[in-house]
Amino acid sequence: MNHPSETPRSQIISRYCPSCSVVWVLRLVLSLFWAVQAASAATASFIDQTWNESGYVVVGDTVLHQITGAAVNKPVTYDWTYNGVFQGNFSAGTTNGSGTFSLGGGIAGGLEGFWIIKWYVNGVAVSPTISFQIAASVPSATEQNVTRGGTNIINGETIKYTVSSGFKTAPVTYDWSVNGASGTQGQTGVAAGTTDANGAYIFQGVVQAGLEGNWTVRYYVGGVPSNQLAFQVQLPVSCTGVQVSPSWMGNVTTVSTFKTVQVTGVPNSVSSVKLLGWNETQNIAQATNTTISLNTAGTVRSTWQGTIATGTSLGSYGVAAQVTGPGGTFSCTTKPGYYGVVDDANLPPPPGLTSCNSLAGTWIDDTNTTFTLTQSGGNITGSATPANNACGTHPTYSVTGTVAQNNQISLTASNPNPATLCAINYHNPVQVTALTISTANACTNGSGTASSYYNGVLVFGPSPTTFTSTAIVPTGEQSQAMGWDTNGYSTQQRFKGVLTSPANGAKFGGRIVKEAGQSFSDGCNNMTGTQYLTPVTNNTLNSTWNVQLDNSYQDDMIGYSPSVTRYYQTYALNGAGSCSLTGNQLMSIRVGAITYSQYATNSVSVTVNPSSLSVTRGNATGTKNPYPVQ
Amino acid sequence: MKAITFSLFLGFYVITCSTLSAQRLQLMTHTGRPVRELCDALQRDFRWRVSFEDVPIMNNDDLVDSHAPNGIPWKEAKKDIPININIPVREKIAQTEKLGLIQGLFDSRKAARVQFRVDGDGDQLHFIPVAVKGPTGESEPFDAMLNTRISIVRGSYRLGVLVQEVLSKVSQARATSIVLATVPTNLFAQATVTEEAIDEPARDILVRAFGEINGPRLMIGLDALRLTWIMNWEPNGHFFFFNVVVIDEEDSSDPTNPVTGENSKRNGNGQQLWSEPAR
Repeated sequence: MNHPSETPRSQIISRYCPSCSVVWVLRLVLSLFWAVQAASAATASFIDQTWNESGYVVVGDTVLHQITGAAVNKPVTYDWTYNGVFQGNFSAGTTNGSGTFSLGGGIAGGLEGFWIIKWYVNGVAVSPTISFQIAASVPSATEQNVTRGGTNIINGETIKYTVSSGFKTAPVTYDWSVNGASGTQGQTGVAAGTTDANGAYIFQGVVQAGLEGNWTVRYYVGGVPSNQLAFQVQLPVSCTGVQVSPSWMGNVTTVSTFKTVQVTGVPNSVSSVKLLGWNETQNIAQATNTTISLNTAGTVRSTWQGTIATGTSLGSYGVAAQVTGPGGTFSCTTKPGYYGVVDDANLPPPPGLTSCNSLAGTWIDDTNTTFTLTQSGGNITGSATPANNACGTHPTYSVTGTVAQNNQISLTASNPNPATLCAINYHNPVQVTALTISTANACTNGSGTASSYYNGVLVFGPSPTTFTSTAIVPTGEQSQAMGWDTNGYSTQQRFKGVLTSPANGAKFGGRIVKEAGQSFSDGCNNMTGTQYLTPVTNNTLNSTWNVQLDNSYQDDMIGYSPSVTRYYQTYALNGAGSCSLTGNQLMSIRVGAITYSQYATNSVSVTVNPSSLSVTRGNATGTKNPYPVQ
Repeated sequence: MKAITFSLFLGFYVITCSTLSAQRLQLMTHTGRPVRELCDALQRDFRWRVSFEDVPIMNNDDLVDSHAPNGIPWKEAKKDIPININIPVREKIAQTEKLGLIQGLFDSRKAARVQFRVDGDGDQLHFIPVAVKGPTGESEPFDAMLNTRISIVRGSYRLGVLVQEVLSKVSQARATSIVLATVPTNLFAQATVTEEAIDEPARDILVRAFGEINGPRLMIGLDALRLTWIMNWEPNGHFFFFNVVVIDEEDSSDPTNPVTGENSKRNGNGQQLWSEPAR
């Protein structure tokens, strides 16, 4: 600091004012009597040697009055006007042998105000008339951020400089520089205006862009410097470049764990960073937050790192950074990370294997009788034709039957046609009871009890009998969208497949169907491609289901997991458009102990839109709009 | 010296395999995870049922600034000594031959940052890390994550639940998270296994569970599923991703059906990681 108050003031005053206990007027009178010699070439001057200025003096400054070019050894006097009041003419001494007169020393307190001195040498006026102001102290300057208080400031905010001084209507200039000595910007002596009648100067304006840095400013009033101002013009904190890494963090169970998260691209001016975590059913305002710290002991200023507790709600979570710094607090939600919380343990168990419930088709019993049957619900109709034997050609019987709730089947073969053939009268009707079909071989083997009657009298049986058939294949299947999963896989639609029966009304309870993938293309993954999130391929489809008594099977869960969906919404779509997973689901049904037959091809697609998604399986589509629910 | 040793090693296989039907294992790695790339190639091109377990990167010097495919800045493993091989490999070679081939390759890479050994289990190969460059830059022994011994209460588990349980216990024991990445969701929900483990390596439990699901499948005429895993270290989140993949039978008639997609042939910069083997 070059503040003049650092000069040993007591020494200055002792030279200029040996008897400082005298009242100020007296001191002044004693100090300003000079002898003046009139001379036409004489010149008067005054300088504040502290600031090298002539018009503005601060108490404690060293000043010098001087007359040169005057007559030698002549009396020097002066007229003194103080604050507009003429004080009189006083003797100051005599010029020396060179025609010079000098009077200097320190300015004591109590002399503040406007001064006018008119010098005379030997009664002749010396020009120019000297005028100056004395102030009690140097000017005082402050800088203030009007917009939000404090001193540091960012673009667009209003800055205010206030200068207070004892110099009224005095010229004001200032020096400024950015980033100190190494800075490339700065000016000195920039004119700013004048102080008002109270010695004050105020400037207020809006800070423009491009002025960022460490600023120093010093004001000058009448050339007398103020204190130096130091403050920062900062870039406003923004979310530009602020990202969460990793952007996909996988799926965890409801057992609470902690995830390590990095926030990169954080501006240097940021003072604190928090992690925001919010579930797919929440909006950002409902997010919980966790304060995190600089990474690696602050060596990477732009990277902050911390852990966040995984939530206990199911579904996907977004993790975003919230940065605080100049300009406020901002939630940076455009480049978040995602993870999912799932509850595999409570996924509904797949329906188990049922009993077989169909006798439609062609069956052969252990007597080599061929049954050709159709089925409508639990009712069976058709015909039975025993194999020819020594008796000759057998008649064809009419067959009726039912499938009971326990899936035991009863058949009655009666009314042989033609009625005249051999044996007919000895086996009419033939009844098969408690016929059950085994699931072991794709519902193609049954066993029951057979009895035959003649004129109402039992003539054969009851004796065990067997039925065998060739497995019937559905003619296709329909899909039904059953709703979204509620165990954390909220973007996966639960589909039910319903097998289409052929014309004979065959049912497929007790049968097993399986899937295989064909021509799968994971368009969303191709757009993001990370070594950590592998694409869906044909091999991803490898499930089996048990067909229930109503010809249906479930659940076929289709869709990206919620965290993956949101990851793709943000990073594959880049904020617009959509991406899709497409392929064919080849459905096969078990037709033998180790053989399956393909019966349907379901076109499968998962389409992810910026704020919604849809999943299609065959003829059924589930749409979730909006997703996430916010 | 190592190159000479390896050339001799390759020569052995050229000679022994020259009269048999062979594909070529042609691989030039470019990433910080060459053994992972080898695993991918063997899975995709030869349908070897290989598991891969990564290691944490303990030395910051082994990380480089890069960008995820989505443009996000991240750290990734610095490029390691590449695997550069072009050798004939017969189809469906015996497990002992596979073990010899891979172990020989691993033995020739003593200067690599991560040292592996190969272990055999049924038709499965495990690429198991045994040493890693430590914080001081010196190689130090590493106990593979799935070596961790855990106990599982006897019970019937959904496959997905069991896998979560195993990984959770390993995570707790090693104070390092392992999270599920890509897994067959329907299969995990449908398949049920009965398990019990007392102070047993986690890897053994997974192998047993992945095998156990095939009993019911075989009984209903389905092919056995050849499940295996890829466990990657995520250096930005400081955790492991656990992926489960299904490998086709080695004699599968559909060689165009890769286990992993076209995308996995390229690294984050779209750079091709290997050439297709000559067929």
